[in-house]
Amino acid sequence: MNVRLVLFLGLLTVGADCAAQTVKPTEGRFRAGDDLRWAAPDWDDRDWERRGLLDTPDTTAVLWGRFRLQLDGSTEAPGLLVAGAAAREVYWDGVLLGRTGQVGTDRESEVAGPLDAVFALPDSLATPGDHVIAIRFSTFRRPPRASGLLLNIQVLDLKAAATTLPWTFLAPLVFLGGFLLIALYYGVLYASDRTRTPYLLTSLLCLVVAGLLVAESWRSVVGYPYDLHGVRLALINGLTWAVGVLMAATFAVQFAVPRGRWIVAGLGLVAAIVLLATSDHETGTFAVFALALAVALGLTGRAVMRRQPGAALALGGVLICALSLLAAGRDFMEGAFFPAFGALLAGLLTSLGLQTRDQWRRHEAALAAAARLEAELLKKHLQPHFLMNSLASVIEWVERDPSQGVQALEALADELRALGEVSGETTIPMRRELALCRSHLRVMSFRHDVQLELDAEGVDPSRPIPPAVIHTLIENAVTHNAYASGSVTLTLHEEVQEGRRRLTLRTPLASSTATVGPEGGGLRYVRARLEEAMPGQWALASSVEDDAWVTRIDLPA
Amino acid sequence: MMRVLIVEDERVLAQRLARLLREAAEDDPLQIEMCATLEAASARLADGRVDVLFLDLNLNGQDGFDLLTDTTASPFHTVVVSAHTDRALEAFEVGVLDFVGKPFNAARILKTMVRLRGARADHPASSLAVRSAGRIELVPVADVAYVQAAGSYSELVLRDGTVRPHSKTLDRLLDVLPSTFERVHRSYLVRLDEIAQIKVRKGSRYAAVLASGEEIPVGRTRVEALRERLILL
Repeated sequence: MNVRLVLFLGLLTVGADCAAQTVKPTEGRFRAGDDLRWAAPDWDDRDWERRGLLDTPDTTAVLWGRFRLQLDGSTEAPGLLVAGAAAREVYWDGVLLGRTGQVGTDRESEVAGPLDAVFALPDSLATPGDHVIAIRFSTFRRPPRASGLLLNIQVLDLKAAATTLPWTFLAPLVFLGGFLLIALYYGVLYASDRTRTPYLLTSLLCLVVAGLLVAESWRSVVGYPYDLHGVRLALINGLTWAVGVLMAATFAVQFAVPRGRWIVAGLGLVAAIVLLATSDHETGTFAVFALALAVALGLTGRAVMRRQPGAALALGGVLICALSLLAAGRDFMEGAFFPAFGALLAGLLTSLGLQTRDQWRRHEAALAAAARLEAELLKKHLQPHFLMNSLASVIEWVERDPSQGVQALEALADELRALGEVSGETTIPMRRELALCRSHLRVMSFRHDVQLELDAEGVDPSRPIPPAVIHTLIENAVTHNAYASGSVTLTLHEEVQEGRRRLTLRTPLASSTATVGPEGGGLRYVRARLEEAMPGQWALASSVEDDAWVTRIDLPA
Repeated sequence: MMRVLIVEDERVLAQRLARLLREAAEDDPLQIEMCATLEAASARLADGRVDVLFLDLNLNGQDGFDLLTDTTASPFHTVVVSAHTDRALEAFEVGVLDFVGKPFNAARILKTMVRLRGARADHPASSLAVRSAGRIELVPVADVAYVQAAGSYSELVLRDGTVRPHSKTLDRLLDVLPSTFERVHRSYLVRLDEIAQIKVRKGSRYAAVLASGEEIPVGRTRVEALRERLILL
């Protein structure tokens, strides 16, 4: 049987509830030094150091360990699993079962063998009764901070383990495929719309989890020399850290949590400290996940309280994940993690989908609103009231004074052309808005036989403004005031201060009885345009001050 | 002399209307006044010194259509001047004499002048606005049996016998009523299909007997024309 396959089965049985019993020693006796006679079953090892099974002395030099166990003969196809970060020779009742790597007396002479190895026990050796296992170790290539030189030693039933084989391969592959597909899918979604940061984060999160799955499964599926064990554990630590941070970042961005950046950065820092400070690999990763899940619970819980779309689903996923990890405890990485993370991911993706749907609807509504605003602006000027009154006045000018009539007609053409040009924009430079206002005032000057002027000194011509906003306010003022005197000047003033920009339009009141309330369609249009261009960042107020109607628009600078 | 009040906030248009009205009136001098708002005109309208009101329905950006029932209930004629030609029929229905669409020209104003001098409205009113106890009531023309002069105003006598006073004179009401209403007497307008028969009374006086049995005097000079119209009915 393929050694790796056997070894994989062996690892699985560690946690699996197999029908056949697993037999393992309870303790070991250790001695530094080297003597091949120490393999003999009847060697007197009473003066050796007695320690817990995996609590091996921390040495790199050649070390012997002796372990005792009892077989009852019930195991049909027994095999001996020995896992450890050391080169080793394994003896069963004094008979050499096999080697992993080459035990050496120094770094040069040692050859690092696989971390895990299973040796089939021939029937001649696996007799019922007491047995002595002696192992000769050398760990000159053990990286600093790596786990103990002995990780597991036990007798297992190779035949029973073989029956669970397809499933044990299937689960990681299914999850790997799923994570990679989701990563690809959301990566493509993000590439097509770079504004959707949650897509990018979800894609990265799935990619990192897939990496974690590969790193986690590498030992059982592929195997590696023991000197790479530390590298793999460091990789798992790093990936675990990245999963935790990306998970928190995804939720923080998805639910637009204020100061989310700092929360995620704080989590990253604390998690890094935990990983570096914890000597035990399992405890470190467990703590980091617990921490990340606690933050994710906080973030999604807040979103649920604020009734954000999809928040409940995201919270549900995080809860299921957190509860399964709590139930699995320190060994969650062995089996519970990936299904649990799958639950979290399902919650996250469904909630993202809901948000996307909502965003799409809002987008559609915004498009419709923009089209409505454009139509409204154009319609207002094709409406009989504006167009026919203007034409009627033009005709009067043509009959009264043809050269004035031509000018009136040109002014009307100017205004209609300018309106057509700006109506579809979200914002235009103030220059164009002022030109539009002045062409309107020229038309109205002809209609009312009054000289109407706009003084906009000091107004920055390059700053943006939603189209026809000032124009509509001016139009309101002129419509609601029967200006009778020879010349009327409206003034537009601009102030920029501390990131805010205030536009003040003063339109003189024709008389104290003039109808000043320019509420209604015009102002509704102005508000809708401002909201479209700078949602939530504008303010509009108007009042009567010193015989003038004053309208103030506050905008971001 | 016809007294005209133009209520129009477009000064150039008010001037144009005044000019075209003067041209249309030719030698018959007009007294024309102009206001930019109806409020400014209200005093003048109230004391009865106006024969015809030219009213822009979109004064200062407001929809002034509701004003129509008020002005048509008044003694003077109302001529609407508006860009909203799609609402002309609506205006005629409450009894305006004419509806001039903007832009307008001299020929159109001449037509209005003809109407002012006695021709009937293009579209007769379908209801008459009546002021009673400070409120305006719209009386369907179909309910009116006949109209009787009562000094400077008129009384609408409805088919159910009830009476509604109207501020307009008999002449002005006739201008806006459908052609089924005929002047049968100096003081009476009658709906032709209400007349059951024409009787001759003592002293060669005539009377129209209505469906209700009521008798309305018929002027001697008008009886022939009435008979002809009834035959045509």
